[in-house]
Amino acid sequence: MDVDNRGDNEIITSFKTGNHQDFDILIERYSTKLYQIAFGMLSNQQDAEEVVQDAFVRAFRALDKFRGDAKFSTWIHRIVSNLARNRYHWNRRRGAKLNVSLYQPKRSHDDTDDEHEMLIPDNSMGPGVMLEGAELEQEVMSEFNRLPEKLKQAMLLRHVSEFSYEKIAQTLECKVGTVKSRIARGREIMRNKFNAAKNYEKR
Amino acid sequence: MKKDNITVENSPNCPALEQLSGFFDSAIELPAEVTEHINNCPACMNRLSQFRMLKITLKQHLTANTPENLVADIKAGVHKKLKKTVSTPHPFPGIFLKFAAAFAIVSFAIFYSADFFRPAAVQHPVPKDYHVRTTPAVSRENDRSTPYYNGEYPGIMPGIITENSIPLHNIVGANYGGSREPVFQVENLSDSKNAPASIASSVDQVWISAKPEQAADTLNSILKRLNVTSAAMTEANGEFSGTVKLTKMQLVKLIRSCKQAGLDLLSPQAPQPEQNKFRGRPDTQVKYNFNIIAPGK
Repeated sequence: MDVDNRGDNEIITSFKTGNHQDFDILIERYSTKLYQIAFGMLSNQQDAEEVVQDAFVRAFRALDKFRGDAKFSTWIHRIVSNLARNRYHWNRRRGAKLNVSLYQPKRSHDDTDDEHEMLIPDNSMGPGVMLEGAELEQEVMSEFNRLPEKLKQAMLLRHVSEFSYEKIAQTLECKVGTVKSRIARGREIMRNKFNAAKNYEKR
Repeated sequence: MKKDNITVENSPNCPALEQLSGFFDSAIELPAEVTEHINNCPACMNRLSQFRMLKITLKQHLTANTPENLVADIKAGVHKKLKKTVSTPHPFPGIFLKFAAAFAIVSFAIFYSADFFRPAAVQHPVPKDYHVRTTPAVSRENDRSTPYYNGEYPGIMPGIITENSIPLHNIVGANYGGSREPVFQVENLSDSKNAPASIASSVDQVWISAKPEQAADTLNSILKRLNVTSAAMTEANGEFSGTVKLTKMQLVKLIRSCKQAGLDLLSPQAPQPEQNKFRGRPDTQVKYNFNIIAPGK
């Protein structure tokens, strides 16, 4: 894990002087967030890992020319976003099922996991409630995967990397107002569909 | 409020969708009265709560689908890709390059061995760029204006045009002596000045020029240009005779250059493939005997 307290700029400066092993610190620092963004876009673990690896390879090759106009985190997020978007469209052209792994979570429904408990904060919930929580997650993610690609990108950068609207705008190379609008629209689309599904079940 | 087919059911006092979303992200500051409304409005609070639920669910799903050894796997994958790029600069596998090299060597060997075993007689005696007529000669019956020598019927002028034909005004009767018949028989040349010239049988070609001295100089300069040093030329009664040792290729170039310089052949024997003098390999040494005479001799 990343135990290096140096900032990104210091690591990059060190890298430029020939300490290429310092690049590993950047990999350790950003891999998880970048993977989650790629996975959120592609819903496929292998594709997501591949995208993140390719992004780091590109960054490694171009780091000598990195001028620092933007933060490294913005830059690497931009590379991942672009590669994930390319892979997303390539998969769609190939007719691949984007949510192939969405319903194949690592854990089964009877797995008692802390994060599942977070979904429904009720310590007394039984197996039936657990199943309901897992189904809820699947439904939410199913709707999320149907969102337009640009809305998903903005929401992922906000919720996963917790970027500010300004930083998301820099990453996606668009205006702050556009980011604001995309995130709001994405939330509202999901909320409405989710409410509609709930109302249908009640009937 | 409607925006992009999204219906938001709220009271007129509720903030707009983007404002509420921005408020949720702490990205915008709202007036105090709007904030107060949100805190006291069940619809707004419900919406914020759903936003929170969506956020938690999204993060939870992504975290759950993050492999345990992700960082190590990505690091290993990155190192592998970087190493692969550095160690294999060629896009083709090594076995492909080996096959390509072997194929090139074998092809090279076959090509040159085939050339080595090819019979010499099959080779073209003159370079390809040299003008050799390959199409059938045009028959012009009753036309005696362009006498001709084809190597098969010496002394007969059937009046067919070839690339070696020479104009009638340059023709004088020629007699090669010995048992050979004259190369050209020009009819109605009873004038004494057109009496046949006596040409020794050893002479390969006779050049004709109004100024034989200039023609000899021209020929010498051409020989120098061709790097032919073994040339011997003698003058007798305004006529020149010479002997040159040169390759067949040089001979072809010599004759072509002489023609371009304005000299005409009395006996347009060459270069024609059927003649022994010019047959064979271009680098074969030959001895070339020539005369330079003036018209009417």
